[in-house]
Order: sequence, then structure tokens, then C-alpha cells
Amino acid sequence: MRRILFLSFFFLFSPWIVRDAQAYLDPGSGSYLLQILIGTVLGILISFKIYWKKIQLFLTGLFKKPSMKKDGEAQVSRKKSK
Amino acid sequence: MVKHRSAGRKASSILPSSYRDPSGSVFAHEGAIYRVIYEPYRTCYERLMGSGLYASLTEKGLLLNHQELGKIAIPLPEPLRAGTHAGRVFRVIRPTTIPFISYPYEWSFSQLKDAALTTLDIALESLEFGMVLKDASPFNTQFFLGKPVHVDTLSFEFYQEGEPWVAYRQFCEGFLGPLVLAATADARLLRLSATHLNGIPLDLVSRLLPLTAKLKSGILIHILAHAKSQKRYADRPLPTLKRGLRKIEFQALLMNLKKTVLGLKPGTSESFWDSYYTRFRYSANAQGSKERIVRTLLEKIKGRVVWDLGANLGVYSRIAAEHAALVVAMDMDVVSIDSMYRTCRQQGEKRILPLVMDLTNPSPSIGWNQEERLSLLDRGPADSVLALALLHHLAISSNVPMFMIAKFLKRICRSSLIVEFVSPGDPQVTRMLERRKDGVPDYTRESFEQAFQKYFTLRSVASVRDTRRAIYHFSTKA
Repeated sequence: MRRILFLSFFFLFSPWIVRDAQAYLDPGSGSYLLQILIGTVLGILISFKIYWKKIQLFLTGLFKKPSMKKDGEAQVSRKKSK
Repeated sequence: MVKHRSAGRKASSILPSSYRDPSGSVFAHEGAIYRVIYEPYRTCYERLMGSGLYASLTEKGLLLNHQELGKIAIPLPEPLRAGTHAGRVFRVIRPTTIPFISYPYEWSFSQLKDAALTTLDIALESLEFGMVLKDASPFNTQFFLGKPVHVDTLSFEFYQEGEPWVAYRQFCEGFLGPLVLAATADARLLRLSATHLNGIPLDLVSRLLPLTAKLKSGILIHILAHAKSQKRYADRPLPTLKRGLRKIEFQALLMNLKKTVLGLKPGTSESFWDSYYTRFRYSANAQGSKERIVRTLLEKIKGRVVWDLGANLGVYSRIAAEHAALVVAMDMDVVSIDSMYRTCRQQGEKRILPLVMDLTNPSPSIGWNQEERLSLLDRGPADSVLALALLHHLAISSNVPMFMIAKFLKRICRSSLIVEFVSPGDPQVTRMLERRKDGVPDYTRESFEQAFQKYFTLRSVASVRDTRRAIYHFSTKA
């Protein structure tokens, strides 16, 4: 996840070339816009992480052998989820 | 009760540090601090108190406690009674008194890091209660009972879905910038916060960072990209945006900042005192003897507030803390102070406040009208002062005449002074004197006693076993 975030900003901003700002800065707008960009990227990553966990859970549930004792319960719950 | 050190200066006067806040003012009255809340802030204050946010934050030790007072409980300062604020006062609260106000430029890396994490935790908690932390200045954090605590009760406003964090820039410039510089370039750069009271400009932080630091994702985003974004959108009006920052994205931003701060470790700068102690370690006998003398004196003196000057790793600060309400342990070495702070935190030591302070150039009064942030002297005097293994550094290395050292100590010491004199002939002093080709004729026991007895009354002298060192106990002359 860190790599994706890193690469996104690497291409979006190429910030290693930052030079000193001679003029008066109004940092409000820049900070405001950057937050929305970071928030959006982080939001996508979080959503991806949540869905990926759901997919993982679904797949492990699909291929997991139901235990002997709770065989009946497991069958019922799988049917319900379908 | 330990009084606020700056509170006694002017009775019932608005403190110069609170002039910026449109929601309220802070004033001092008879040694205590009060905060006036103006009418426009009423709804925010009521939400803070009514939503459970205040209870949650104070329970976790993140926000300073306060007590609500009636309007007429204490006389308000003149501008609040008759000036532009007259009739606007909604409520007066009395926050718990912080016995010694310290500033970010006097903190070590770990102190600033803990203060940053406290600020982020407050911001995250506020969102849960439908509020947002609008002010993330490091000056709103103070150290109280060994831990950082947010002191500005009026830093909260209503959260509106879609609004980005109004204090993001302030956090990055006030906390993250100096922390990143200290962790990746040099811990001494923390002092830059004194010349940039509103935070270190991010383009300056970017220029000072080593290349390896620029490749770390958190630094790349919150410092470098931030600086670039500030420059790109400078002087441009904010464009109308189709979407704002959703709450989950706001939380993700705060979590990412927290992860970035947590990933920063104190730099590996070498401490001057590390090698100093290796070279000039005294015998266990001498160490034990010195500790016994100092402990006996401190037991007798019972000063409420003690300043330990040249505290190094805080061996004697810990002894002083056994009998004092607060020990302000000062040293110019950033590495020693950081180490002392971390040890105090680990041991749950609540009565020691370690601070980075160069006594030959102590913190001056700075900020608006040169009174926004107080000088060290304005925050004194201490009840008792410890000056152990300090005099020879000031007199020989820094070339301060003995009478001027005595005069300075008199200004910061209300009643008792414990001072160590290391006589010429001691191996360390001999080596220091050898480096001074011009010699230091002033550095003799006679001249030390003569200079100090002008300002102090001698109570006792005790020699440290196996050394050429003596511990003097003086009381300040009226």
C-alpha cells in the first residue's frame, strides 16, 4: 500500500525539485487541495483494503472444509450467505 | 498550590500570548490563570462539554481540566469590562494551573513527538464527537505531570462533512517539519521553531532535508508535496471543488500523519556529554559522597520549584524531585535532554520537566510586542537552584566573569542556591585551563566565594570525598 501511495505522489508532484519560494505564500489553498488529494488516495486504498479483506474472507470460507461437529450449522450458514 | 510562574507579573491582566484568539482571552489573577469565553463561541463550547468530548479527552489526559466559574467570581481585566469585549463575555473558566510554561523550541525531539501525537489523538477523537480540532499549534501543548497536554479549551469547532482539516498546514509546519528535520538532518534544528513561531515554512524544511529522507512516503507527501502545492496555489483563489474530504478520508489523513510521526526516530547525533562522562567519570566513592551531600541539603531546603542548571542526564534532578513539586531540568545538550525525558516517561516521573536551554543565551522574550513568549527570566524565579558541575564551564569555557555568574543566579533564585565549585587542580579543570592560553585569574576559590557572598549568604560548605570539589549552600540576600 505504501508503494502505491508513494508512486502516486511521485508522479503527481515530482516534489524533489522544490525550490525556495521567494514570493509571499498563501498556504491555505495549497494545503486545502493537497489534503483532498491525499484523502482521496488514502480513501481508495482503505476501500481497496476493506474489499480485499472481504474477498479473502469469502474465498477462505468457500474452500474451508466445514468442521465435523458443526457440519450442519456450516451448511446452513453457507446456504444463507448465497 | 504551585503558582503559574508568569501569573504573578501583573494582577488581572490579559496574557499577551492569547491575543490571536477571537473566541476568548486568557488572564492572570492572584497567581492563577483564567480563560474568558466570548458569546460567539458559546455553541462550540456547549457542544464540547455536552457531547462527551471534553470528558473523553480529559479522562485520557489529552486536554487540560478546567472548572467553570460564574461571571462575577473574579474581577475581569479592564479591557473585558469596558473595552471592545465588554458585554461579550459568556463564561469564565479556570484551567488547572500549569506550574511552568515551556515552549516547543525548548523541547527535545521526543517531547515534540509526544506533543504531536497528543494533538493528532485529539483531532481523531474530536471527529468521533462531531467536532474538529481547529488549532494544532505546538504552543497549545504544555507539559504537565510529565506528559504533554493540550491547554487551549477553545480549539474546537463543529465538524462539517466535506471540510478538510483547517489545521493541516499548521500541524505540518509546527510539528511535522521540525520533527522530520531533527530525525533526519540534525536535532539542533528544533531551535528553528524560535525564529519561526508560526511553524517552519515547508519550502525551508524541504531544502534542509537530506536526500534519503525525501524518499520516505510520509515526508514526501506531507512535507515535499505540501510545499510544492503551497507554491503552486499561492496567490490563486481556491477553486470550487466538486467534492470535499469525506469523514473517512479525513480520518485516513490523520492516521497517515500519525503513522509518519510514529515512524520518526531521534537522530543519531553524538552527545557532547557521552564522551565527557567517559573521560571525566568520578569514582563511585566520590559520586556517592556528592549525592549524599546534595540529598541532605535538598531535604532541608524543601523548595517547591527547583531549577537544575546543567542537569545533563538528570541524576540530581531525580534527587531534587523527591522533595519538590516541580524540577525544571535544563541543559544545552539536546541528546541528554531527550534521553532524560524518555527515561522520565518510562519511569512515570511526573515532577521533572527536562528542557533544552543554553544558559549563556537563555530563551528571550519573543513574538508580538516581544511579550508573546516569555523569556526564561520572566518565568522565574525558582525557589531553589541547583548548579552542579556548571560554574567551571561558564567561567572557563564561556569566559563569564564570576561576579556575573553570581548576579545571574541571584536573579533566578528566590531562596536557596546549591552550587558546586571545582577547584583548580581537578583534572578536568586543569585540562580546561590549559586550553586558555590567556589564563583565567578570576577562577579561584577566593574569588568565587567573594563574588557569591555579595548576593548570597553562605550557609554551609561540604567537600566531595576523593575530589577537589565542594558543594556550597547559599541563601539569597534580600
